Amino acid sequence: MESPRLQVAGIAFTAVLAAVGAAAVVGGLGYGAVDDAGLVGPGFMPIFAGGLMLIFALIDIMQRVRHTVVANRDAKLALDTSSFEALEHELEDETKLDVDIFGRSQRFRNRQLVAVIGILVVTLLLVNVLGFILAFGLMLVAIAVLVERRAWLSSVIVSVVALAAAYLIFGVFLRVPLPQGLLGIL
Amino acid sequence: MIDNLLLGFQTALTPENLLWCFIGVLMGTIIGLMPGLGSTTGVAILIPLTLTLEPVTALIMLAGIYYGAQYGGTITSVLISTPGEAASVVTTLDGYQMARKGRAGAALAISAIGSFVAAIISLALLMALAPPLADLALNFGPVENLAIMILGLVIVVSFAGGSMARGLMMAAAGLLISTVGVATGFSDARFTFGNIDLLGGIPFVEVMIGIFAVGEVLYQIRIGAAEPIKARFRDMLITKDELKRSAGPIVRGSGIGFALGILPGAGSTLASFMSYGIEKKVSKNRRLFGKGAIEGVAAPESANNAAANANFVPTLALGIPGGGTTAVLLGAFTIYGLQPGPLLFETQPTLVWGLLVSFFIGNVLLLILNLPLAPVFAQMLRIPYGFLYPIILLTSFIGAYAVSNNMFSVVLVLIFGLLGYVMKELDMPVAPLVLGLVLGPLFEKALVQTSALGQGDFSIMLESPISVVILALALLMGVGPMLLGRLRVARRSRRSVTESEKVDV
Amino acid sequence: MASTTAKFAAIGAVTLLALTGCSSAAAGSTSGDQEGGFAPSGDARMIVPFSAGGGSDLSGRAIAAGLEEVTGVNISVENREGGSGAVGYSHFLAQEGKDNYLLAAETAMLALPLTQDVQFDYTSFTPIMKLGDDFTLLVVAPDSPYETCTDVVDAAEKERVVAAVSGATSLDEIVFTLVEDATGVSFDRVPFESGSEVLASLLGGKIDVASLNPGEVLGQLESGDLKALCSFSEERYEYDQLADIPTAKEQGVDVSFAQFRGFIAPGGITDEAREYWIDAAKEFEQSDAYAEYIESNVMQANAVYGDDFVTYLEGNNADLQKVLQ
Repeated sequence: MESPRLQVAGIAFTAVLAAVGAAAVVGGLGYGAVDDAGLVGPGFMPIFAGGLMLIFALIDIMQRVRHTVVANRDAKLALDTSSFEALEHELEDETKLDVDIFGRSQRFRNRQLVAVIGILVVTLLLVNVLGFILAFGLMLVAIAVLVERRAWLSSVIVSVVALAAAYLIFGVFLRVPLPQGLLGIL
Repeated sequence: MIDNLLLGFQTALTPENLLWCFIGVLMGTIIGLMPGLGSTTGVAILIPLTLTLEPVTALIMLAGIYYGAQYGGTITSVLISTPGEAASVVTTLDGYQMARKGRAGAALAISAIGSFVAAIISLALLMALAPPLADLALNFGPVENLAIMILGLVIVVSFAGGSMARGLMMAAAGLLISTVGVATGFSDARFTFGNIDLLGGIPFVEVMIGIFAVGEVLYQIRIGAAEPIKARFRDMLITKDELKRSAGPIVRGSGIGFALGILPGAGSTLASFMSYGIEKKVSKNRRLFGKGAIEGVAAPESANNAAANANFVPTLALGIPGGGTTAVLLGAFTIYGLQPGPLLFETQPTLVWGLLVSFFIGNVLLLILNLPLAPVFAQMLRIPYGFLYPIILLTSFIGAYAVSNNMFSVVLVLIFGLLGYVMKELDMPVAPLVLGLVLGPLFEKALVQTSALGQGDFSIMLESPISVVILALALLMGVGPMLLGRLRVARRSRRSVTESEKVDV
Repeated sequence: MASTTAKFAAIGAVTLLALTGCSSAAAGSTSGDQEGGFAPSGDARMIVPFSAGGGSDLSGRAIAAGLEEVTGVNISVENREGGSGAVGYSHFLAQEGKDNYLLAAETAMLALPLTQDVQFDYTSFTPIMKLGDDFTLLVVAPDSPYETCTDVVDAAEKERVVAAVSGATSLDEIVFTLVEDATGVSFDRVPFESGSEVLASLLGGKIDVASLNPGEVLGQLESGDLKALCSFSEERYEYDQLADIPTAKEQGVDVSFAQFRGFIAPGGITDEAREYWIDAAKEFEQSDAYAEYIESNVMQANAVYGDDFVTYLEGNNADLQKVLQ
């Protein structure tokens, strides 16, 4: 069963899609569903796709809300009749979810996720300054050292080797003109 | 016919051509392993390398890259859920699940076998029937294409997964994303918000890399490093039972792939999605689909390979490209001073038949190369995820850049990576979104053209017998299961009135 | 564990080194300063604003290879597709002052500013060379009742004639509009995405007429799968296969319009740099590579340079303005 937080997040996500769908319909009307000659116009597809998205998003929200209500009632029932079984399930879920094979807790992994996303954003910003290869080289080292907590030396070696391979495939072999950044090296 | 075949074998089996064919499939496989780099980009990027070769040798090598890249894309679809191109998106659904269960070797082997069988079937058809088939394909104009697109959209329903509404919602989202930019027949830029880079629309390659590769990495980080899969070598081999289960899907997939592949533009992506959708309806093991059913790998892999071969029917017989990669290959013809067109079979028999036979040899080489290598590639999963994912991120972003030479693509990958992560976390189906995105522009184009042809009147769809048949098929696939399902529910509820049933999740 | 990864990656790197050895050697650049004082800073880039395999890509690659030959400068080709060329041209606009950037230009350079909200027009760039002209032929299915372009115009006066066009600002759209302006008839249009799609629908009998480049239909004309009614050019083609096709003008439809192909440099480059590329282009025109390119694409060789190219663009732009606005 989904946790309450996930349920709320799911409804929120679907609501955002519904809003985007509605906006697309409005935008499509602006572009014109049919042109002067009565032919399909540039606004037709946005209205069609946005409309479908809006309708199905609303249906999904309704189903989710109803589902939550039913599930809550069922959960109460289940507790009354076979609370032992429910407890066992919960325990199982807990052990499965909480610690991975490296003994990392859920909270630690959440922090890792945020760190990786942050590193990616910084990397993309750095491409303009350092160039593609150097920026992504830093990304590899940063993930290895900061997120995966590996030793400096081995992290740098592995990163350099991976980077060299990528550079050879894309930069040399496929002749992709990778951005060089302000430094103009690599 | 026999003379032509002999001529073809004489041409293709020279040591030089054999060597370049091998180099082609090998390089293609490597390119296919890079996220985002599919056969189209691979062939386009490597054309300059072939300029010093004889035309027939160069084309043999480029065709090798085409096949190799498709297979390379399959490998990453299965191992790390990262399709190399849109046609192998479907393979991730069951291929990746098989890999997580330690059956990666089997999944890779069946796709190699399926691709091979499909290639042989479609090549035989191609050699025997290319010119008449090409003429047949010309009957498919805008009206018929629109009918096919409607059928394609109906197929989406098969991919909805747990919740129908959610699946259709994501398909609509895909359609909507595809409307960004300037569409065929219009000069208006839609939803670009003044951004020049958006004028060209949001390309599905970037969306695919983002949602599948980057999204999956982020998701894996959050749910915790999965245990490296320690499958024994014995487990890596395909079993007799799996082979038997795959036979039907491979044959059906080849048929669907070939049929859609000869139509200019319809493409292998639609073929792979359709064959999967059909297997999901007819298979005895349909409940296993999405959880690692080997049929779900065999069918789409055969279909996209058959379509890739069938793409050459209009390309060689008419001089009209069947798909993106064959369009690039046709461009290459001009570079080598060859005039593509209906006379190619007559004026350049050595080239055409040499090329056709080399397709056959290329596929044999791929099979020889990949059957033993499948378990070896599968060993990659033994690398702990902590080492693997930074490399996946690096190749994803660099691959995205290589496709368009534009940092904007890299930014798109990150955005769709975050979206993909959220979708996985919330259990939103991904495949309908990709299908919507791929079908969107094709659907809109056919719609606009049909509307122009009929002067706004869509009843011309009912004047074409071909389109009527396809529409009837779409109706059957769309409404049929719903009626069947309703019937089943009605029967079941009558039987278990007293039993209070728990609502399924 | 780290060592296994390292080994894995190292093996990959070695294999690749072996594979790429030859291409990297060929890519080694030589600085070409034999043309007086100026030489482009570093390697040069040829931007192609359309996808690989298309007409622009072919011309971009031919020009790049030809210039590489005569200057010794390493020129890499970069496809920046999207928005009917808008993405590539806009990217090029941002390279102002960089004398090592080039772009394979064609009619989109003029048509885009006239129809879309883009930041550039042809005066934003430094035109270097026009390679030649690509006209179109009016083609129909072999069993079509039309024998001349006059037949088509007469028919369009009385009944519905469906013409295929490959884009809202494409060459065939311009040509059909010019015919409409010249004769007062109107055609029904069905939009397609490329010349090859138009070709397929014409062969399948889905549309009545199309206006395509000779290079796109030569194979079909030779095999008898299509017939050409007239060419929208000033004079008849000199190529043997096309010499029998009358011009539209001969048939009383006074329309001729060429798509130019050429290359440009970014705006704001120095005069020396401009002269350097013009000299290189003139040398390229003398080469076999140039003749081969023109011939294999069935174009009319008609090279003009620098200021003459600008004058040509001015005239062409004025013509287009009438049609597209």
